[in-house]
Amino acid sequence: METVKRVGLDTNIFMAVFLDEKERADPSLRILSLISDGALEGVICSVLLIEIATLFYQEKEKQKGINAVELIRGIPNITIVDITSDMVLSIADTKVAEKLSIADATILSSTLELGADVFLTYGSDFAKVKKIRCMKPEDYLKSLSDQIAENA
Amino acid sequence: MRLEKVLKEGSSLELPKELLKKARLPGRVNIIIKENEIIIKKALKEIAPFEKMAGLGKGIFNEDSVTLQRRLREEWKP
Repeated sequence: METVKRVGLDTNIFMAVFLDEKERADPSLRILSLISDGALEGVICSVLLIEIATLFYQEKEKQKGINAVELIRGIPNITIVDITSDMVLSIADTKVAEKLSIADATILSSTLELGADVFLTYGSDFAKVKKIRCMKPEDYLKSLSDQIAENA
Repeated sequence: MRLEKVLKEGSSLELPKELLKKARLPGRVNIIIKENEIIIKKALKEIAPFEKMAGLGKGIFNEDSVTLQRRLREEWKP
């Protein structure tokens, strides 16, 4: 039996959808759709939800911020990782080893803790990460279709 | 009901369908992992589907998704 692939998601994946960005929204939605359908499992960190809410709150759009967070929380097959004290050492290790900001390291560590296969982001800060493959949703979708073609 | 089970390394924690039904699952759950226990709680609220997300922030922000994220995370840097 083939196991479902687990993917970590960065804040910009969701923001691309909320902003309906020309190039990024479609592949991001396709990933969310695969997660919702159970073909993939999603992993996000609770910090991501804080960031999403903050961005809306900064623009004085509190209700839309609440809606945005609730919509993300409502997507089936997404696990939300809360940061607890047992994770602090792995976050610190990721921050130093991968030369990331604390926020980047915290979000990435949630993905690593749950043994995800890949971390999906549009952020270039993750380009040199070694602990896990970091890629754009469209590149990951292509790798999935290549795998399907190989197995056919 | 309380269950006790010996889990070997590499085995998975699968629950009988009857128990899930009794707990009114499937549905969204919170899984709390502690050093010596795993607590599974049903989430209180069912929430709307993700299709409503597209365009929710349109017309609100002046920057793209990557710039918005970078600006927030720069606040964490010394």
